[in-house]
Amino acid sequence: MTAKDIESILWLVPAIPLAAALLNGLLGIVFLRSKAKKNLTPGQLTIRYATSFIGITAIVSALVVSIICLVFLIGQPAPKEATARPDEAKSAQLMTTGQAASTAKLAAPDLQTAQAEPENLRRVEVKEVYTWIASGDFQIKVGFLLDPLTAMMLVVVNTISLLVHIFSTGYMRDDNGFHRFYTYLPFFTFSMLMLVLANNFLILYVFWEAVGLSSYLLIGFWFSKKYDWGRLLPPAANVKAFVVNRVGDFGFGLGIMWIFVTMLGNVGSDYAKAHNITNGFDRLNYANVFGAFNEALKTNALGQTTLTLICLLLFMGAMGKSAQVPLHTWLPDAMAGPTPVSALIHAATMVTAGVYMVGRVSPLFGNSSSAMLIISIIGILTAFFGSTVGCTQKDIKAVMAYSTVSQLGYMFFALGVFGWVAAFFHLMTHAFFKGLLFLGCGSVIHANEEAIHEGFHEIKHNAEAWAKQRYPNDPAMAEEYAFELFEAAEQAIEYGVDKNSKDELLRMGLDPQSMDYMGNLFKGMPLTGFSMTIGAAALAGIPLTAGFFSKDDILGITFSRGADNGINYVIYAIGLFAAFLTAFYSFRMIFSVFYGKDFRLPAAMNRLAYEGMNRKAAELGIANFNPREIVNFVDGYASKTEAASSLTPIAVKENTPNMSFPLLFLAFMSIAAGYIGLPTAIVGEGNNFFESFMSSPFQTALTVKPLPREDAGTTIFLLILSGLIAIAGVTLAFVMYHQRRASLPERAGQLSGPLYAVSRYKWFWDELYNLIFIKAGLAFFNGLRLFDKYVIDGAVNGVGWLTRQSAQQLRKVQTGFFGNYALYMAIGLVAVVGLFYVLSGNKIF
Amino acid sequence: MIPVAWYLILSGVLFAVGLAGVLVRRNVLVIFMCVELMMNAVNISLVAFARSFTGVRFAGDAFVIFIITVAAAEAAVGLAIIVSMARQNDSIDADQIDLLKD
Repeated sequence: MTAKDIESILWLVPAIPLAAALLNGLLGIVFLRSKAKKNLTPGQLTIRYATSFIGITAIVSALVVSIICLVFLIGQPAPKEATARPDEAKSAQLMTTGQAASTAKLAAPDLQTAQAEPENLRRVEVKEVYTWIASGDFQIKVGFLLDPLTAMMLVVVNTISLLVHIFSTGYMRDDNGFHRFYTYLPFFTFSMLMLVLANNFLILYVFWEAVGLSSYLLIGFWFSKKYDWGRLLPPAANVKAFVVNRVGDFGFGLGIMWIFVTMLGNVGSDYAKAHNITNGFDRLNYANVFGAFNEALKTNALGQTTLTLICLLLFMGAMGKSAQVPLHTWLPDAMAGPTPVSALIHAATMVTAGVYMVGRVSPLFGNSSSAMLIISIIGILTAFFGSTVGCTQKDIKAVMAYSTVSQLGYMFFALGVFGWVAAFFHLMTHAFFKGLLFLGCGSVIHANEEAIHEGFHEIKHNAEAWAKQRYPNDPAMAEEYAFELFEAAEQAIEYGVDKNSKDELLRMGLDPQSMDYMGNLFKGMPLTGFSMTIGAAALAGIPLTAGFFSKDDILGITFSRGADNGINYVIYAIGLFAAFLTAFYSFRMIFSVFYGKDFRLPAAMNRLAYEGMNRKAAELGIANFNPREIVNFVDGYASKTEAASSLTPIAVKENTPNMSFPLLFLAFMSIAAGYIGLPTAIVGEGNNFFESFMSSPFQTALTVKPLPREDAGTTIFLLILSGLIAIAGVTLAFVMYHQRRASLPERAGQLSGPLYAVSRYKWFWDELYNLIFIKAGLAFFNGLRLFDKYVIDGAVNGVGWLTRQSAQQLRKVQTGFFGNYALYMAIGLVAVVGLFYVLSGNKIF
Repeated sequence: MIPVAWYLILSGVLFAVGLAGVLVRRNVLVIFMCVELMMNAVNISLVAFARSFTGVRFAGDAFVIFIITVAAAEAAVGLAIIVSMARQNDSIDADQIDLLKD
């Protein structure tokens, strides 16, 4: 394998998923257009399953190519430090051959002058894969850049995407949009792969938007959903995601335009002249931008303020995509999409784009310490915000969503304190354990829904039997009553019985995502329970899991940077507190879903079914109606000794292997991924594999701000401290949600009072936005509408009215009688004479 | 010598009378006569100015004679119009003539 081989296969990575997306879309349009699953012929069913097969095959191929790229880069010698002496650099250059030399020439970070520049073998740039727009010297080309950062992202994105594809074969099994789903998923993957592969800002922006489009399509996948237990419905949620992202992308677009304008100005022209760049568009290439900016900063051709503003504009885009406060509001609502999509968005394809972008543009960010400070402040704020909100959400997916918000906050403040590698280490481990947790949530929700459907069948069956017994002489009436009662129970369970009820269960119905009605699921789904516990342990940062090492890496770097700027100690302290909350809420979820004392589903179903059936019976006039005679759900895990014929055991069952396998694999990764990045201070310089591999893309940034090294003692102390914090959080969750779930959480909620409300209602961000942008915006624009209606239109119409009216009056002047005309002339004469008389100061005579 | 102002007052009075006649009367013939009256008021002031302010003799007078000549021609045309009007409408009442409106 040489760099040339890699160059020739790199295009396959995005091309295969794109081909799969196009093929699946075509198959769907031609063969499966808007048909429900039950109406399909066997041939069409085959095509339907073929779409998933095509998707999985494509991602597997892309993953294989990505792994080849990654292995190639690992095999290359690490680039020398940027301060290498010229003769060393020269000898390194001599070693390389042909294409590699020419690609790497532009590639290496241009801190030094071009001659002294060390060769970077861990970097392959394909300058032209495809020429998009050709216009003389201005040619927009799609080019690829492969370096450790890209390679790591490629493998992570493809891995998560593959597991999501596999998982979805089970999760979406009965969905009528199956083939549509398998069209969007590879497209989403393709967009993200292109985003990380791009070698210039324009292509980055194009696929930045393509990722937004794919997420729009997938969040709104169930666009016809009419009821979602009080959550934002998919067609609204995807618009919200798109609009909030638009706010960030507005800044991102401006930042890129500013970079382009700067590159077209003196800064870029000098650089282009020095480096022989003729194509105007090449000035947007990363390497050229970074090189030109670095040189301009050294010669003071570019002000610090400009750089900071550009960085902050770019960061705005990252805030939108990566859901940082205050642009985070779309992410929790993006849960409206199918759960595998949430896993994909949260773990790999969408929200990591912002982190990736800041990492990719690190040579610019690293030179602006004020921009970095703002990033770390926003990051820690988000981390803290997400972790507080996660503690009180009832929707299992909402907990995970806020957890993602919080973990992204960690990544950003890691970036902000120049912990580039730590941020990407956390990005990688987070991708594994958050992908796992989301797929686990999907598994739980799917199993829950299946159990509820099973319950419906039971109710229907029992109601028919009951009615036959009750009305033996009138089978028609029995059938009708049975059907009515069953439907009432079903409606009650799905939608609730009373929209004004204070009780959430009666008001909303049985939400299969609400943790209130879960508990003790481990007995039914041990595989999901086991793997999700591991995922939660990694999220909580329990010692020796992947999350423990990556989170501690971030906290450790923040702590060590405290020597530089005191504010980092504050960030460290908040980060530690957020870690405690993270441990608490992740295990709050685990304990209330998988452990706890009781299985709550039967009681909730009974309550709703009874309430619904009682009301229906009263309406139908059935005397002496006792719903218990029809159905009485009991815990299907409990011992069957007391199970009489009147009891209906109900249990949540483990899903099929195609849904459990991805969970187990990710559970393995959630532990294993941590061991490629053990803390440098403990294992020794160069033995932290992840750091030594990943540091080369950040060398420019690292050189500008050298990281102070912590000694082993401090590192171990910090590791133990954060481990203890995590265990404390888990213990608290254990006591509250396993041991005394019936009483303690409610007491705690009452005790904390307003704090609980702030957390439960997500710090009122949505309400605030509603007030500022919706209410005030509506009022303002309503004012504008009135202004338009009365002032603008009034002026226009007024002119018309005036002309019309005056013409109507003036028309009467034209009588046709010349006597009148003579009179006007006389009046005019008098007037003229009078005017002269007045103007000449009464001295006409 | 009579001061020029007296001529002008006479001219003004004559003009005013003529104007009043034009505005008030309905008979086109009378109106036409009043127009002549106004013109002659102007002639008077012209002659008076010529006598009073220019050294050249007959300079203003020549104009007036021109005007009278032209006025004679004009009177002929005007009377012809009135005659044809009378033939068409059987009336020379100014208030019934509103052909200018069309």
